[in-house]
Amino acid sequence: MEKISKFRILIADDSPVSRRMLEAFLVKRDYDVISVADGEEALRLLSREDAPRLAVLDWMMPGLDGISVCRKLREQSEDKPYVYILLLTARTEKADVLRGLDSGADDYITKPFDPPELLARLSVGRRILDLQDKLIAARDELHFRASHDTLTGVSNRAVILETLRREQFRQEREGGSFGIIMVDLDHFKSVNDTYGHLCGDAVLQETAKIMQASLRPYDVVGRYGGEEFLIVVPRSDAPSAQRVAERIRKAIAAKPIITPAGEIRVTASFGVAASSDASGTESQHLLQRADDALYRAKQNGRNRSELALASPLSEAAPLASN
Amino acid sequence: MDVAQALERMEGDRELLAELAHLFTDEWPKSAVEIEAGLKAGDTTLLERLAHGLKGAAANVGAERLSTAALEMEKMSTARNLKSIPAQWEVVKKEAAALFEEFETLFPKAAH
Repeated sequence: MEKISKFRILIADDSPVSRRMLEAFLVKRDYDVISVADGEEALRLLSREDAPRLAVLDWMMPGLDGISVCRKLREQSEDKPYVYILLLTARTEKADVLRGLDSGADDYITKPFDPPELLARLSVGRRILDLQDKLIAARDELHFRASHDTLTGVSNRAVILETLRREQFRQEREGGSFGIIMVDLDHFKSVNDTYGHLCGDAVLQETAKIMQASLRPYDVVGRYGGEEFLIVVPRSDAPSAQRVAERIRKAIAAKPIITPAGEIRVTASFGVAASSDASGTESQHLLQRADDALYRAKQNGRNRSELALASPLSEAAPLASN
Repeated sequence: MDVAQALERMEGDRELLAELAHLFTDEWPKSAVEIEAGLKAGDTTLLERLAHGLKGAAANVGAERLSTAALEMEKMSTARNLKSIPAQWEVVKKEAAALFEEFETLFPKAAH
């Protein structure tokens, strides 16, 4: 039977005897040991995305020594999983110990190593790694919750508006244009009234899923209000943003949504505006224009998309300052 | 050589100790050539590292006397005391020869 995943550890020691001994010792303790004979190879393996998280490095090695490996590894990006490094050294003078720790090693152990002490120090390392993993997972989870709509899982209002602002700054810098799509589910109130809120929630979840599936990876959809969504479509003009809107509209109308109360047919209306055909690119103005287009889509019978009308400068200015 | 102590470090794994003795024996000629070269070049930094490695490896296989002799040589190299190193190297070689004889008796298979 396969043992549950062994903990991977890298050991680097130029002496074949010391290396083999350390390796044999750790293998017996159920570690998955990768052993290398020099610092260059250790650094290469520890720099990889799938690097072992624990390393025991001999201080004295020809070429790149243990502390140089530490220093170079710590200079690399902080995005990679942390590698806990134990420096193996015969140097016991305080100045040496401090120099070792200063280079980025987490701990050190003197040679020849005392087996129980090595194991204890390695488990300290694993404890710290475990703690770090938990903290990172918690941080990611919090970050996700703070930026996503709880019900639908798409970006929340704050994030989609921030995305819109960022896209505007990018456009000011680099030129080009981008589109936004305001989406509103048709007769959503009656879905809630007729089938109940649980079904209303299911409809929102499902339509959000359809929208996400119809977008390119760099398009962003967010929940703007109750049954209203806002989509930011970077690097696109009005006609191509409208093509995106039409694709989503057809996908939503194509098949009924399965809810606790049975299948419900829903449609949505779309207001499309692009930054290039606006006289001002102030986000409030762009949103207003998409909203106006959406209103026309509703007026013109729903389950359709409308493009914002080109507006003269005189009309844009007062709106932008609101 | 303190076999009991070495075995304790290997947690009683006699096979592992034999394997390490074998590795140590294999590694010796290479180390010796490097040390001779270091002596000829008067490279105390290199000698320090080599003596250091030898000291550690010897300690791992329980060769206390060889380890101590290598430690002396390492200290001399650290102190850049080039004059006394060659004599100490002779001591190291003598201890190594004695060790290999012991290996022959203890781990007959490790000899080849």
